[in-house]
Order: sequence, then C-alpha cells, then structure tokens
Amino acid sequence: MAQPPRPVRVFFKEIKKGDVLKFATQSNIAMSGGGARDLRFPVVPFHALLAPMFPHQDGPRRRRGIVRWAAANVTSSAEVVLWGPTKARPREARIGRFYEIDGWKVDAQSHAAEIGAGSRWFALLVQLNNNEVWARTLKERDLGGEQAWFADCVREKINETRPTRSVWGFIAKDNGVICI
Amino acid sequence: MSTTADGGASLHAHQILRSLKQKHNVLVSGAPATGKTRVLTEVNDLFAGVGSPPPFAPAGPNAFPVEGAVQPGSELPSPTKTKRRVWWVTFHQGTKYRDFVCGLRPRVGKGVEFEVVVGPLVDAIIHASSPDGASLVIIDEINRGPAVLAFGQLIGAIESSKRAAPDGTATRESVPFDILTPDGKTETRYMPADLYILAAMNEADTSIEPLDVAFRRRFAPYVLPVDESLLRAWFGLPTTPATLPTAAAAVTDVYEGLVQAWVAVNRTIELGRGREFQLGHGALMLKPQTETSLALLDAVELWATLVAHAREVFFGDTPGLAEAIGADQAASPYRLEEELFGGTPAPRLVEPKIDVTNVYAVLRSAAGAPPPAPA
Repeated sequence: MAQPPRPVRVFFKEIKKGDVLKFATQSNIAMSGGGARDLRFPVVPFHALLAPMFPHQDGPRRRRGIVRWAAANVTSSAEVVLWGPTKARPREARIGRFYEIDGWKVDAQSHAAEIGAGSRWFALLVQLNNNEVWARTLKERDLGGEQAWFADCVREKINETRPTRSVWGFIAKDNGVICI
Repeated sequence: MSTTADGGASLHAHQILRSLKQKHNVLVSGAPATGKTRVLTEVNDLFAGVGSPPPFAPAGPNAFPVEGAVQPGSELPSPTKTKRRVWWVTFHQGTKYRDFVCGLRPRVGKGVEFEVVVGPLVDAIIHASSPDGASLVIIDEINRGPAVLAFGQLIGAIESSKRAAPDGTATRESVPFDILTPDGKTETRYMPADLYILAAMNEADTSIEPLDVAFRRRFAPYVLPVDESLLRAWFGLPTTPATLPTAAAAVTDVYEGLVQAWVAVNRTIELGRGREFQLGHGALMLKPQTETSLALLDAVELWATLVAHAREVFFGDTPGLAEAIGADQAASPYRLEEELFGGTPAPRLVEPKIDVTNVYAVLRSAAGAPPPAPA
C-alpha cells in the first residue's frame, strides 16, 4: 500500500484580531499592519522559506501556487500569490488576497472566545512531499494531540514571543526537524 | 476556486460513511459499472483504518495527529472503538438464514448429528458487543439472494432506533432476537449500536430477487450516479461537450465522440427503460491511448459494449434497440426495416460491420451530430 504523503514544510502564524477583521471585511485594517488584501510577514526569514510552496515564478517579485483546504470532506483550492519585498516596504513580504483561503477563515466570535479562554489560534500552511500545499487552522489547546516535532516548535515560538506580538514560525522537515 | 473529492477515497465513500454513522444501515444502488464494489472497498478501508492517522490531516482538531489518536467529531462511525473488523458477504440464490445468521447443519458421521453454525452477522454482533469492538458487515449483491429470509427475525432489530444503547443495555425501543450458542442453546440479544450494515445492489439485473418495501425502509438509500464528468476526466476531455469534427484527427476527437455517443445511448435507455438500466462510466474506462489509430481500435470494442448492453436492455424490442443506438439518425449506417413474418410486418435491424474505418462516423451519428456536408 502506498505511504500517505508526509509534511516537509510547515509555516504557522498566530491569527490576531486584526487578521480576523481583515478576513471578514477584506479591507485595510491598520491594527494588523495595514494591507487591504494581504497577509504580511517579515521578509527575513520567511520569504525564502515560503518560496518553494509557490513554485511558479512570474517575475522577480511574484510567485504563485495552488493552496488547498478541506471542509466537510470536500477539498477546495485557490491560486495564491506570494509577493516579495518592495522598495517602499523592503522588510515585508506578503501573501496576496489571503481571505480567499477559506481554510484560514475564523469567525470573530469564536476567535474572541478562544482568546478569552487563553488559547491562541494559528493559521498553518503545510507543504507535503507530493508538493501539495494545504491551509488549515489550529488551536493552541489542541497542541496536546499533535506530534512532538510540531508541538514543541510552536511552544518554543510562543515562549520566545512577547504577548502583544504575533507568533510566527517555520518547520523544515526534509532531513530531521529544523524549527525556525 | 474548484471543489473536488479529496484524495484517496471518493466523496461517495465519505458520504456513505457519514450515513452509516447516522443510520447504521446503508443500501448502495446504481446502474452497472458505476463503481459500487469500488466504493464498498473504500468504505471498508475508511472504517478499518482507525489507529493509523495520516501524517497530515487537512481537517479535524489536529494537523499532525499523534499515532493511534482518534479524531473526535469525524464522520467515522464509533470513532472511539479501537478493535474494528469488517465482514464481506455476497448473497446468492442459495443464501439461507443459517449461512448468514446462525442455525443447525447436518454433520457427516455416525448416525444423524447436527452442529451449530455461527454466520458472519452473529460473529459481527458478538464482536461489536465487546468493549472496544465495532463491526461493519458489507453485503454485496444483496438482492441476488432472498434477503428477507436471510435476515429472518433480525429484520426488526437492525433498525437504527431498535438497537441497544451504546453501553449495550436494552432501551424501551430495542427489539430482542434469539441466536444459537455453540452448545445449541438459545440466547436473547439486542443489536449492538456499534454494528453497521452496508449493502449494495444492481437494480437493473434481470436475475434478481426484488427487495420488499419493509426491508428497504430499514436502509438509508445511496444512489451512485452515472457520471459523465468522471469519464471526461479519465479521457482528458473538456468538462463540457465539444463540437465533433467530421473526421477524427486526434485522440480527443475519438474519445469525445465515444462519450457523446454513450451519453445519447444512456439518455434513450433512461427514457425507454429507466435510469437504473443505463450503462455506467466504468464500462468505458479503458486505458486512454495516445495514438488515434489505437483509440479507434478501442472505440470499436467500446461501441460493441454499448450495443451489447442496449441489446440486453431492449431484448425483444427491436425498435427500442434501434432508437437506443441512433439508427434513426440520417448518417447512421444502421437501418430499421420491416419484413413480413407469417404475413405480419416484423421489425429487423440491419447492422453494418463496425471497424476502425467507420466507428467514428457511427459514434458521431449516435451522438446526434449533423451529417457531413456532401463533397
């Protein structure tokens, strides 16, 4: 029997209130760093790490790839663009129109309740060894059911990050496990 | 954005699994070659697959589940049960209550002796009654045997609302039944909540036993459709029908003609006999060719399959057969004629020899494409 595909790259980002509002309104929300339709993140180290998940390069700053997600046993997908830094924002990279990734959708009420209960909510982008890229969310309180290589890295990044900042991280799992 | 079944098992298998969880008993039906046995196998694998979670789960509370963890809230019936077994049974004309449930069987030896036979359903009941057990009984060709006779008094007990509570105790609605123990005594039982029955049948087959309404009512129906989109995807064709050229210049022209002819034949069968008599997409799924000449060779075989199916469906009805294969189309090489038989006009279908030189024209005309303009 064929082995099921295994994860080789995992990007995770804490979903903040501003991200939820961005998702809902698809408009410019200053409290999450602006960017009307984009998920912005530090160009170092994440842009280079995320690039293999978006294999089609259209130009020096633009890469795209298919992102999949599952809900109620139905798989959906969308083409998503990864943008490199600009002269105006040399320290930022971004995933364009991220609100089209329904696999990351979190409603504001559930998000507030989760935060109120002391649990963070994360958006994940997972690349498998068959090159498929999947989006999904994950609650901090469910980390106990995760394999150690993943749970330990997320916990490490939570401990390193000030409470007011968003928790980011990346796991490379080609050879061993590297938590960045 | 696109929406498809996820990788691995089909969307049908997931939906059937969810229906099993809710209703306990599911009856899968569909035209021949719609993938019934395949979907049974997929449900078998999904049901038995607990305890080895995938390295990555696109949905559920965990993304990278710990080995052996069960995903609560999933579609899996009895998700907390770790000892999961599946029984496969195929009904036939000789299937008896004794074979399927339990009974006495003569034993060859000195004098007259009998032994107790425990059938797969009782075996599954005993397993599902154990603390960690969950059972799935798969019955293929359920209407090829005397199903009501084979279930006997258990017909009432299998109903979802008539089962025992999850802890094994009887409720006010639970229906009791007796089984034979190996020492020949009778024992009263209730159908466990962790036992599921998945049956499949082909309603179009002429050599079948009809299922009575009371029996069918105890199963949630699930109909596997004839699916043109699957056949189009198989042959690498566009999702919607394309105009057929007058001559096949490429492999895709041949397959487009084949799919359109199949759709037209099935449409006539649906009108003349009923949807369940159509020919499923699986019957045409030969390995796609990359050369037109080889595709035409396959098309000859597949057109013969279509005609043979229509001949069986319209057995004794020559005009119906002629209609099904498009003999009325202007460009069709088939002709419906009348001859006198005992002084009475009788229909006769004149059939040409079909080979690679004319099969595309046959497909094209059966699909209802306009005849080529005269040279």
